[in-house]
Amino acid sequence: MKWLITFLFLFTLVNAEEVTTNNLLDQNFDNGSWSGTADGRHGSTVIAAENGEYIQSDNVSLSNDANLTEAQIQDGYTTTHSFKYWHWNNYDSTVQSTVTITGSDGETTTQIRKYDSTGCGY
Amino acid sequence: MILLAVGIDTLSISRNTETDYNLNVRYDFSDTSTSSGHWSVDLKEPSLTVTYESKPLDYSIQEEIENIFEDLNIEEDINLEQEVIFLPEPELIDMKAPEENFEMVAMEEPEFKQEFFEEEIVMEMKEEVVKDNSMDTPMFASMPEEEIIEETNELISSFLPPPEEEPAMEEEMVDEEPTMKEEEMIEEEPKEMASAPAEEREEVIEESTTEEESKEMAQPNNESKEKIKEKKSTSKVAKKSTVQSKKLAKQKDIQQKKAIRDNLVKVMDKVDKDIKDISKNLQIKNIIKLDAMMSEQASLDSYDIPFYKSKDIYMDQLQIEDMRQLYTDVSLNNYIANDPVVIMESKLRDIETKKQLLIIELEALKNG
Repeated sequence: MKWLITFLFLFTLVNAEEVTTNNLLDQNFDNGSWSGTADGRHGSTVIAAENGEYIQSDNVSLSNDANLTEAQIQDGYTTTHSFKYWHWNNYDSTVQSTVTITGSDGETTTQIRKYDSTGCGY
Repeated sequence: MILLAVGIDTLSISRNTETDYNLNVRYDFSDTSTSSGHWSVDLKEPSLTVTYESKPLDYSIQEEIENIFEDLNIEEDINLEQEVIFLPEPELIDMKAPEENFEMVAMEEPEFKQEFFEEEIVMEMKEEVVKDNSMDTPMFASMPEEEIIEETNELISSFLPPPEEEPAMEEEMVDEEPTMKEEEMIEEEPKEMASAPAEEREEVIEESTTEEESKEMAQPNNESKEKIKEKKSTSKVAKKSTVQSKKLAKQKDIQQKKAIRDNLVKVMDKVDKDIKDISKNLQIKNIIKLDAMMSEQASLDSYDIPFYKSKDIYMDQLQIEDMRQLYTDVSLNNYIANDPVVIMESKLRDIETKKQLLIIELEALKNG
């Protein structure tokens, strides 16, 4: 029995496959899926931010929006978050990104990163 | 010089029991400019992806595998334990920790201290004798720690009186062993009382006599002096009953403590008789003593009382704040937004950023 289960375990390990979803965030900041005080734009896909402003995406559900099954969710997963930004003036500037993951029982995991930019002499 | 940068971070969620997760992303902008307007960064192409296992193992199978590995580890542990028994030095290290705990408790009750020190001396003496014969006592030699703890709990429960108020624990006990334990405990209690020392008996007799006296005192008084002193007699009886109940409670406490001490001595003797492997003997004794110390800890609840009772003495205060707003339509932001110089500056900035974006795109196209 033990050997059978061990064999099954190894078999499933060999057959296991990692899958990555598409980008779950909307690229259009004016499409209604983003909210906040940062309303300056260069077009609809670039935020022109001011001091003290913020913008926040709507919640993305792993089961409804990413189509993960309960078993896949419960097995654990990894999120990868990225964005592009540029600084263009003589002031120092900071953008802080916050990824918040909230479980069905309300437990919250948060990752905060700060990206500092010094004045570029322009 | 404008630099395009990319911010990346990853976050892993391990195996869990959630049915769903909600994700969201937030960006907060700040800069060192004191003026309003777009001086913070430009941001684009936010991305959030999730990487997961397409065919995860069923939870029950995972548990089964973990159990198998645990079983394998346990077997290894047992072998290790058997080998370690031959080494005498680690046992001496274990001796020191419980002694420190003892002294802390012994400070509160000197009689208790003497008893335990006597036991320790006896234990040390026995250790020297028994060490050589430790191989010849297989009773507890190959026992894992859980079994030792169970064994000690049984020993303690067989000697110590049952706790008075522990409803949750009682329920657990009932779930595990529904009837046998309780019956045993009930049967043993009167025996212990009968075998208690003479001092305890005297105290018990005193209790009963005081109770009887109070009844006797109450009865004739009520019969003979009912008509004369009805009010006085009722108040006196009430006072007496409260004083007597306090005395009884104190006596009960003292009796319980004495009973616990006596039982501890009995338990230790029984452990010495039954368990001759010195390391197991010490482990069990330590557990028993720790239990005894835990059960006699003083409660600090009586100190958790507020020193002052708060009282609001300024209830009717005058409303002296003027809530009227004089300049509702005028604000600095409105003024700046309509300022032609600011408007021109922002337009120039927009043009400049568009220009820079185009330059970046052109460079990207040049680089392919």
